[in-house]
Amino acid sequence: MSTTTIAHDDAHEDHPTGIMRWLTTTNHKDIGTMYLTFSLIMFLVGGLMVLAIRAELFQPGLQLVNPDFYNQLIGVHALIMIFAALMPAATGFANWMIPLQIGAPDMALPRLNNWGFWLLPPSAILLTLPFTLALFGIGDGAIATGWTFYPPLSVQGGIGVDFAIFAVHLLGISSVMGSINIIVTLFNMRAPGMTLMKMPMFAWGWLITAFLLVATIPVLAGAVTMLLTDRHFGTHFFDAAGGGDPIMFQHLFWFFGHPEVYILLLPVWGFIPQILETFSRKPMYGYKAQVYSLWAIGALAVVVWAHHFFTAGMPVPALLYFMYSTMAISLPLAVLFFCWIKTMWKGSMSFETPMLFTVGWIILFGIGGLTGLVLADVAADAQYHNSYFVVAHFHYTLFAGGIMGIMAGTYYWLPKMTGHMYSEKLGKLHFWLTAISFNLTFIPQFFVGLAGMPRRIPDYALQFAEFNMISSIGAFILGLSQLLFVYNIVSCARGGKKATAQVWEGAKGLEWTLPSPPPYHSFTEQPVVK
Amino acid sequence: MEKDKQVVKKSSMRIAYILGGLAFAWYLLSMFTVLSH
Repeated sequence: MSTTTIAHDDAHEDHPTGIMRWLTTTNHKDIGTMYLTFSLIMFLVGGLMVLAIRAELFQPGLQLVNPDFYNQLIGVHALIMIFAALMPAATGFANWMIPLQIGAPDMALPRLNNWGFWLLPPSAILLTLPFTLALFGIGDGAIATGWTFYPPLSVQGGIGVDFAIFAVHLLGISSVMGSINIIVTLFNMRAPGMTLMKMPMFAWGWLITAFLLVATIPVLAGAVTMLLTDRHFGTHFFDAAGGGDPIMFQHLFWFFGHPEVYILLLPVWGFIPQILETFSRKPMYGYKAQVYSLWAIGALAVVVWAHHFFTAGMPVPALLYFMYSTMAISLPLAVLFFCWIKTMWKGSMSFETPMLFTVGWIILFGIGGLTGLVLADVAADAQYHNSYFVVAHFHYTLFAGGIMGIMAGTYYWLPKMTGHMYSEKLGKLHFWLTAISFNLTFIPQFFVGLAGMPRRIPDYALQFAEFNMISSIGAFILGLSQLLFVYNIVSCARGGKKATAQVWEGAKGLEWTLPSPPPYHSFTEQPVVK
Repeated sequence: MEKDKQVVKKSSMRIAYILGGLAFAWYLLSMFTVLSH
């Protein structure tokens, strides 16, 4: 891809300073920074919660927290990590990078963008406030149903459920607004010459994600609205005693919940091939095959939801349909894996921190994908359902596949965003500590899960003691090693070796034609893609 | 240039309203599905 030179006009640097800059900003980079900062803070909050969980599970018996508080920690940890850490991180990258990658001056709807972000902090407060209120004797704590809100537990739960329902509504509105903005930006704001099939892969990943969000978030919102009316307005949508159907809630929830996995992963699948081509110093392999595979996965994502509750009971043809359709996702995913590996094949590879995270990501996310195939098997799932095997599987998918991917993206784009190089030494240390401690935490969970240890229970049988101890030690190392990540980001933002415009020798695309950091107003003259 | 910007803005708002409208209709429809269940 070749481009024209980009001019810059300093008159556009005018903007409010101090807190007003952040409250009123419509600049895509400012909003991206706020999303990423918010995500990092919530990642630490959600991480602290899980450290309390792992401390409790260090030994069998009840030591530190009572079972009800344990349930609250489990539910809020998941809600925070999914809605307040992973999703905002991907949205932060979208805000920062999509306009730069497609040669647009900003997002298409900048005010909507600001509104979308500022709905997030109140949602995070709604999720965590019940913990604090309970300390003062108000209410009975946060939502204790797990992140899935299953009735009848959620119909009978305390005020934490109401807080979580309102939080999910706000988060949903924020996500839908963000998605609309991204779709409109990608359709209307691309530089002349950038056809859809010339868009960077990250833009493709996000375009499909945005459509998935618009298609599924309203269904989740509908389900939790009905839950709210069941709780307070005398309806019985999901209450069997009143003629309702609790399984219907599971269908509605997972119609959103399963695509949500791909909503978290598709943006990562977008920038991972870009990192691979940069550090392999050769063009991405199979661009078209990757785009079609992303679409295929996006389409399959919305028709496989019921594999999350095979054991709830459904007709055999339905079981078979959901099993085979779920397994079919592995085909386009295998195409993606092939393209990622082939991009590296015979490349002139170097292993800076983003590439280390990416290669580690491919291996660990691969394990997440393969164990998903095991769970998709109806006969096998009856054994593994609700066990620690599931917990290990989805952490390989969402921590390794999601958060480690986000870390790769952070190290990749941080010099572009801040204008400084981060410490490679600390970055590599962070990678190795994360990769080793992550496996130390979750490999034992496969073992105890296969042996029958149920999830979401604060106590366990004596035979699981050793593996749980190892898992807890791994979790604490994993948690502590994230402090290196925070330190590296903060010190990079504050100063350090100046980054060049291209930053990485093999980097390609419009974002690398701008200086590091890019000017406040990115493109004053529209680039032309040839 | 200014005219181009207006066209992009108008088209952007149109797409945004269509998508937003579809999302809201889908929200209502998902509840209607349960009512008729």
